[in-house]
Amino acid sequence: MSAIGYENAPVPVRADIAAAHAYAWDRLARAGYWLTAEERLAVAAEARNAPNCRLCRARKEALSPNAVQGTHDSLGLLSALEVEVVHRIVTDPARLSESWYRGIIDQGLAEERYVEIVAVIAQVTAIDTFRRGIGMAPAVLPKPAGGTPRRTRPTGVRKTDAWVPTIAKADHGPDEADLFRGNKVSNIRRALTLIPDEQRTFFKIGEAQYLPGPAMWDFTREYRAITHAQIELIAARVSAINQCFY
Amino acid sequence: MQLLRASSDKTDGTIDYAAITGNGGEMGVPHGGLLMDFADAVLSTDDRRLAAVSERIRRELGDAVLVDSACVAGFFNAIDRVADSTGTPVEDEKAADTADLRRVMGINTFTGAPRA
Repeated sequence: MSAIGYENAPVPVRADIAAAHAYAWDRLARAGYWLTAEERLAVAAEARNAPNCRLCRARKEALSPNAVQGTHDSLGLLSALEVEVVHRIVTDPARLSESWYRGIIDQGLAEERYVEIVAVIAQVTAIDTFRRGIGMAPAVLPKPAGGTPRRTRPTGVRKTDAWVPTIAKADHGPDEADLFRGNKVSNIRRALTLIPDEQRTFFKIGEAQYLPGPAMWDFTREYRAITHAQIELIAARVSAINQCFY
Repeated sequence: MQLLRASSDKTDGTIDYAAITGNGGEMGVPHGGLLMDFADAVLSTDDRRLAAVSERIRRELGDAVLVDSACVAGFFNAIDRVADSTGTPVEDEKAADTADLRRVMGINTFTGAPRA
């Protein structure tokens, strides 16, 4: 079992937040669909290491990231291609492009591994940023818990309007029905559906750290210590800082 | 953007949307300036600034506000990366509904805006 807890947090943390983080941390330590436990933990460690990379800092300052060549300062646990993916997503996500993504895939990184890397980065980022916000250090990464990657693609996955293959609402099979509840499923709720368990884990975190789907549009009451408007204000400000168009 | 506008419409006020992408300040949401300062500080590397803003939130608004603010900042710091790295497009309906806001806020000039 993982060790990520809030018993000693400087402020009281809701039980559903702690539970979602414990669930994600436990999954992080286990083999996924396409990455081994060790590889998932290596992605998490590299994501934390990326802000220290001199190449990434130089690229961030450049007019175009492509203008600066060099080698990433990495922990040496992943391939150079995977390090490029992790570092770019962590340090300069707004300047990613479809041609960059296509180049990564053409150089040999399987789309499935790419999406699982994205998911691991996202889960660790959500949790680490939260902990920073309440004055806590990043949690120690868990020990690998083994297992074998399942190496299965869900039925209904295909390339539509995102760079990565996803499942459209009309295409999902019974095993993914839980991902498509409700009349509308936003594009971001499909982004990680190539690996359904990663989508589930990320939005389990989202339900605790943001709001469950129905609560997002229920303005008859407030669900958190901050109002809907305050929640959306913080979300918008963070996305503005990240220069995220979505 | 849709939810920000909807939540504002359903509650009380007129939001100065340009402030969200600008220099912040009180912009129509209660304690909006302080919460935006917090978002800025969490995403910065300035630990002293973060400690000061966090302490002010705890003192003026309470611990639960700090926790929920950190929650939202954390999740959107992550979801932005999911959107950007998977090439997830804005839905046509959402883009149409928020076209005016995106113009006012300068979102169409964001680094992550679609390029021709």
